[in-house]
Amino acid sequence: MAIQFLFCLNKQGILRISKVYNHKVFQTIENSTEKNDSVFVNEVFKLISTRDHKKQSNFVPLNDKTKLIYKRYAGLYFILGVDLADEDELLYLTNIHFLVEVLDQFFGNVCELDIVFNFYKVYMCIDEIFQAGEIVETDKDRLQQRLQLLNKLD
Amino acid sequence: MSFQSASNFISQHRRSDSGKKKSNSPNIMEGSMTPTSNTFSFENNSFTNDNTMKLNSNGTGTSSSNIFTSSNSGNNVSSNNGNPSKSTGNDAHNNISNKNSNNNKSHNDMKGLQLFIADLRAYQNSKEEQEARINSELSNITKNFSNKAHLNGYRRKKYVSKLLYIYLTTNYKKLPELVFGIEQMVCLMESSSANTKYSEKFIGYLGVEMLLPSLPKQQSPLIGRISQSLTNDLSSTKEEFVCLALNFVSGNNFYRPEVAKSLIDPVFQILRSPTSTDILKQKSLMAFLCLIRIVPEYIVDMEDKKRELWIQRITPLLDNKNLLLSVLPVCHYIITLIGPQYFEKIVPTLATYLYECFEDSGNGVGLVLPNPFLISKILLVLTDEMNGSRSIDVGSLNKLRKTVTKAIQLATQPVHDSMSRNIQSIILFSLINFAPKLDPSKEAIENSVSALCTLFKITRDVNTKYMTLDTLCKLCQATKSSTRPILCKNKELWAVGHDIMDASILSKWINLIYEITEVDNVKQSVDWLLKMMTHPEVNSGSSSINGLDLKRDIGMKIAILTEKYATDINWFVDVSLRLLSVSKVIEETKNENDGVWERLVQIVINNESLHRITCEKLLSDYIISTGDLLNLFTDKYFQCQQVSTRALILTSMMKLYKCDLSIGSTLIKFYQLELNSLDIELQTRSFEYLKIIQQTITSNSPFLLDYLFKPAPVFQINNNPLLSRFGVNNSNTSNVISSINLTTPPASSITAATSFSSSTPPLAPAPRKTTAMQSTGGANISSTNKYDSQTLIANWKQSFKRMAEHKQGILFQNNNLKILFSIVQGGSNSTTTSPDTIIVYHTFVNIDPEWDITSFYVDVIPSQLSDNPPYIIKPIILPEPVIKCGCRATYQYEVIYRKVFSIWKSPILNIQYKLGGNAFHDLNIKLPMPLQRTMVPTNSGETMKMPQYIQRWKQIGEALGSAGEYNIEIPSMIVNVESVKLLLNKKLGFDLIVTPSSMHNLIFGSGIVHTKSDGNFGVLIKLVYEEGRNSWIVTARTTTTEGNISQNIVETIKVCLE
Repeated sequence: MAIQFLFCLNKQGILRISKVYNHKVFQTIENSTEKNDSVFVNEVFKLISTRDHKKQSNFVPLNDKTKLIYKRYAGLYFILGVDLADEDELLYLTNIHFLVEVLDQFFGNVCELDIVFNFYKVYMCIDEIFQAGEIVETDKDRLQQRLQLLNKLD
Repeated sequence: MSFQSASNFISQHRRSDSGKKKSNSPNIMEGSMTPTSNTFSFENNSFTNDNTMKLNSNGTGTSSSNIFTSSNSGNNVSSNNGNPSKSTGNDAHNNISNKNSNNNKSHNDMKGLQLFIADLRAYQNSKEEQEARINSELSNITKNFSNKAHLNGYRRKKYVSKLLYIYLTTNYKKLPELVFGIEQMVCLMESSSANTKYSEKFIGYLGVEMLLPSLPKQQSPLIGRISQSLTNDLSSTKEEFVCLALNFVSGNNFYRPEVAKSLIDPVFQILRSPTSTDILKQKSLMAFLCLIRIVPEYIVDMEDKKRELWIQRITPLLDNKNLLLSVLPVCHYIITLIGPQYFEKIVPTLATYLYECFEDSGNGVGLVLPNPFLISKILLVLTDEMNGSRSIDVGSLNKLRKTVTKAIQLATQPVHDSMSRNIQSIILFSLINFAPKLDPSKEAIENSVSALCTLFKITRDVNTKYMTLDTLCKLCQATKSSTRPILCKNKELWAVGHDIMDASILSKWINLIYEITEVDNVKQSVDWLLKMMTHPEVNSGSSSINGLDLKRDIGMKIAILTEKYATDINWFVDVSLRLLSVSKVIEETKNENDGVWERLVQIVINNESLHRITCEKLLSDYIISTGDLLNLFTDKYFQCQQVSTRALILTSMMKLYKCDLSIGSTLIKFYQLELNSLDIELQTRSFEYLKIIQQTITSNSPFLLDYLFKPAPVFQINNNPLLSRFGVNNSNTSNVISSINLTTPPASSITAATSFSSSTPPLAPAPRKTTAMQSTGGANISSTNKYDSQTLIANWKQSFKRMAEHKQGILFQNNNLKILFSIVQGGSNSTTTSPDTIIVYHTFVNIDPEWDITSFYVDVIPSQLSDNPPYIIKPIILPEPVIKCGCRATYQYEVIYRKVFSIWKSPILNIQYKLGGNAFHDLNIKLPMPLQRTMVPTNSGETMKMPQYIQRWKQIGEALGSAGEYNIEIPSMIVNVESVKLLLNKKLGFDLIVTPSSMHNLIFGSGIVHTKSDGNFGVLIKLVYEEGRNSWIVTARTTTTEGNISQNIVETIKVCLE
């Protein structure tokens, strides 16, 4: 019952954000090396990008341990990896939406460029919303206050 | 951000950088800036949502190519800035400059980084140029990092940021070339002078977090620096630094256990400190959670007193509503570690919180809806608690029931956008899933099911369909009797959804149909499943990736259902063969080892009544004589090209000959012809068979023939191996197909009826018969014979002693196989522990340096299988037949103590395997199942006191005389009284009576032996150490004279003491 990883990929499959909470997921590929990590990302992308968004759900198993919950916001896919046995798919989907709303509020009409040029700030936002793979703050006002404070720190 | 303004923004930067680069082409962003829709696109939600529609048209009308627009217009969420400035280009322009001043100015201002990113984006159409730019930047950074004199915090931060960008944008591919930078990242991270900048430290932490997992193991000095720096920052006076360290700890679980262990205390100090702010408490809770996930033994092995103190520090944090989201996962995890008993008291609080969620209009995600995150986490912990044996108080129960009603009401309220609808659904689903725990009325469940069925019917949203099926499935599992009738009648459910093109949904659907199948609707279900096999999505190939092979899954489900519920053998054979032809399961099983095919063969061979009918179905034509069959074989022989098939036909002909010697002359001609075959295999076979026929004719005795072509032996497996693939303990499923078996041979019907007095008729008539001849002899005799006829390994007593004494350890080891064991008390399928049942786990490790273990087969042979056996063994998980070099396999079974039995009648573990394809091994080890395993130790405060013990000892003596007593003198090497006490108490499970110091040579103990059929018996033991003779006099008294319990108890002690 926790997020194992969070990816943000664009339509070309380029990684914009990757936050991993459970590195064991990566090790499911045998003899995990750096190269295989990128294979992992490509697998995720291939799976997500070929899905039909009208006829297919936003949940798809990736392998025998992990399933993906994803949502596309224009040119960006936000993807969460969770345990295959995890049951709250819709809740995870709402997690994604919440994150995007917070980013939107923080950057003010967020777009892919914001995420590209300020990738480290996105990490800052993620760290305030999710910890250890759990959502820990859902009050948007408190979040914005906190984020603005951190953003102003030198 | 508009396209135009964004490129302006970049180009300004570029110009200001002394125009090193050529003029920047305006298309730098085009690659990614071709949004198909402009908003939080609800593309996956096909709800016709007025708002979304409006938003889309609005978006396409403007020239701005926003990737994300504000969520407001789409969602009716609470107010949010920036929204009004959307429609015109000018406003968008203002908007971006606002952004610059608001956000981008502050803690970064890394111009170099922005430029580098812009450069890379400019080259995004040319991989080579991008690569070149990255490489030149890398060499630049390497140069700068080696020349430390010029490095200041800012430059470090800038270069590290560039490395991190490369790391991301190359999808990790460049990682090996980036690792060199980690030292500088650590520098940033550990910097702690008075003027250390937060932004620099932040980047340092971020970099280390990203690259640490790929750090080569030998870089341990860096690991040391990192953990030192963490410790420093955790005790820093600057709250933000502490937060960074806590974020790092909770965001990254790539620690070695020893590092994690060393961090638990400092993190816990922050958590418990009354001066910590909410944010610190929140982050330290999650860091704590992350650490104990790495070293769960820290909590598990903690002294009870200390653990209780720690938990007492955690639970009060629940009072702070801002922290609920972070406290609950911690509680949940600790409960999964050590059980629910420590958190029982928080149930009423949680029930209240849950109730309140539905009362105030919650501002969780900005909707006038309850906060789904909070609800889900509260329910998680409540479910944990409800799964514990304690029942909850009436007040809480009522509150929880009311919340379920409210959730159902809430789901009916209209909302205007799909995100709110999602939240409604989340709340509905999670509470309906929870409802069965509240001991609901039949009516309440029926209402929930109807609500879900309606939702399934009306919703066109794929996600909701998916979740509805999932919830129905769970509800059905929990409350089958009231759920099933409604579901069986629901027409929507039985329509084969050809419009649904999603393997995940189909998989849920198939599970549900499987779940509601019983004898009365098995034909309908199987028809449905067979139809589903032809569903385009099932056949599309996309369904067989991602660990979700639908076709295989359906095949197995059909196989299991037909076997379990078939009432008509014709139908059973028909469906099974149809299944094999439709699904091509046969081909797949070769690789997948699924065994649908093998299972059918097993069933057919084990049930004589099926032989004929199966043959008839297979040949789809009635066979009249052996001659006809022979003709058929000859025809087919020349039709088929495959050598293996031809070889098989040659062999089949021989078997035919065995049944009917009159075809000999025809066969001789045929084999002679094949002596000229081009294929060596066919030639050899023909030659061999020819010789056998000739030998049979000349000797006029079919002895050789009979010996070589024995009928297929009856299969030994009692349980359906297919079921274990679904993680089901299959031993308690009653199979109709096996009862078909009862109708034909009367002898085996008796054995089947008597072999298990519980409701578990074994599938195959009897386990392990070497020849079919024996099958009429009855299972009873053959199993006893089998038990007695096993030759135990030479040093079996060592293993026997070890397992009698310990609950886990190594049972046996030779050059290629190591066997471990572990014993857990309590049944596998009951939530309440039943002391008369234990579960035994064996792990088999292939330790051979070279060879794989193949044909691996294990069995536990009980001393008595039928006729009211004293104990029953039910397999739970069977090992795979192949153990690769260095790999392991698990075997798990349950032992139910029905009556008292001697430890010497314990079952025998039989292991057969081949090593490297030939060398065959057969091992037999007796596994001690002492009565002591069923004893449950009482809490230390409740053990018997000395006077009480003496009184009972006397009582038994007076009532039963010497009949209930047994004593023996055991010479022993163990002379230390304390270690014997340890053995009796910790390992064998006796409660020891505290003795006065004057009786230092005496040990008194008590315990209760549990059996399923004969009930429970109290046992008292007395051990006297005879110093002069180095021996122990052991006496046991029991409350019954039956079954020689005392003797059995004493003998077990003897095994351990000797």
